[in-house]
Formats: sequence, C-alpha cells, structure tokens
Amino acid sequence: MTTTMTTTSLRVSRIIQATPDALFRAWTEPAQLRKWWRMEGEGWTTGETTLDLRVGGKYRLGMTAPDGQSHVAIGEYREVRRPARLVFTWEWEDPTKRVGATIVTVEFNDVGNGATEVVLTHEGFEDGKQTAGHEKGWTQLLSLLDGAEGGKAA
Amino acid sequence: MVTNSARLDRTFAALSDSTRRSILARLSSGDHSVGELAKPFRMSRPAISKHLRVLERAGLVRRTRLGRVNRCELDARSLRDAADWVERYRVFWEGQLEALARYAERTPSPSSSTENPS
Repeated sequence: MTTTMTTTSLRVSRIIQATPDALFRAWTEPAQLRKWWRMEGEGWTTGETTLDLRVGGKYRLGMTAPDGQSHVAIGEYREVRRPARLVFTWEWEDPTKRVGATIVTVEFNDVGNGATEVVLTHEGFEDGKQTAGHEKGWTQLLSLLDGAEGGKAA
Repeated sequence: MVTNSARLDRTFAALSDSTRRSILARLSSGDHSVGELAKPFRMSRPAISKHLRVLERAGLVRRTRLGRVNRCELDARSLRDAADWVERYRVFWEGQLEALARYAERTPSPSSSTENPS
C-alpha cells in the first residue's frame, strides 16, 4: 500500500490479486458493494447501497455505526470507463451536513498476472468556493473516522 | 470539534492559492517582514498584505509589529490540523481498499472462470 498526500488531496494505491474488470464490478454492483463496503471495527455494518451507474447517475453508499447511526455518502458519477476508471463526487447525505462535493477517482490498472493496481485519489478544496460551508461536513467526517479508529478523539 | 472544523475550513481555503503557499514556504525557513515577503512576487505590498490577512485568519501565520515593521512567522498548528484531517481520510480509504482486497481475492472473477459457451 502506498500513499502520498498533499494538503488538498490524497492518493492511496494497492495491488490486488483480481482483474480490473472484477474490481470495477466490485465497486459498481450493489450486491458486491454490500459485501465489502463498511468501516473497519466491530459493530459496523453495510447500509443502503443503491447506484445508477452512468455519467450523471447518482449513488448512495451507507454504513451503520455500532450506535445505530447511519452514515450515507452520496454523489454522482462523473466518469464511468469500464474497467479502467471511475470518477464520482463525494459528500454526506444528511441535508444539515450537506457540503460542496469532493471528487474521488478510482483507477484500475492491469499490472499483469491477473493483478490490478487500484489507485484512489480523493481531491477537495481545490478552489476557495468549495470550502464554503464545510464545517458540518468536517465534523461529521471526523466523528465518523474517530469511530472507525476505535474512538480516538481528535 | 466545531471550532476545529471551522478552522480547518479556513486553513484549506487559505492553502488553495499558490501565492499563499509560496509565502508559507518562504516562512518555513524563518521570519520575514512584509516587505521581504513581497519582493519575489510581482505584487504590490497591499496585495501581499491581503494574502497575509487570509493566512492570519486561517491561523497559519502570526504577525507581530516591531516599531514600523510587520514581522511574519509561520504558525504550524493549523497546518498540522489539516494534515491530520487528510491522515484520517487516508486511514479511511486504506481501510476500504484493504476490505476490497480481502473481498476480491477470495471471490474468483466470474469472467476468468467462465468458459466461453461457443
């Protein structure tokens, strides 16, 4: 696993022993997403998973915390290039926590021998206007990620 | 937490401008006066001052007045908070890729295991 960060974006990559096509489908078929999309840690379960896989189509990806609270990420697809590339906006569903969207890009690079390098880039705050009103989103995300790390406080 | 979040907003907004990032890079090597900071940029002193005010509000820069000279210094705390946020998101996505790998590596790809019927 390699990670590079700047203050406005981050990039995480990992080689996975599966084909780009299989991994693309794991990200884009609800039945498959439900099997892996959840936070690490005890008591977290996968929540609602719906998606409309086309450019401009929307998705909802939910996770339920041990306390029963639901955290639903929503957004729309910006680029759907099977099996190489998926780009979508990312924000939280709760209207009181609604913020300007950040952008997640997932690339599936065939590295041979049936393996794929998955490269995930999460960009946000590239321009000033996107940061307006982010306060509640930050709070929500921080508490969500706090929970995932076993309640370590920020 | 809310206060932290508001500060992070200002930090990221402040960092979204390349001139301001250059100013921070210069300040990372030591304190400078506003005049010294303005020099490498083809910019008026008021324009630089405006950038400095944004950095100050974001808690990235501290300005102290020594007589008639404004000295600027880097305040790294806000930068650490911002890096901390990115770090948390990094943990989140690494966790998701880990979960994906666990799932995908024990689920054989249907396309590679299916015989061509023709």
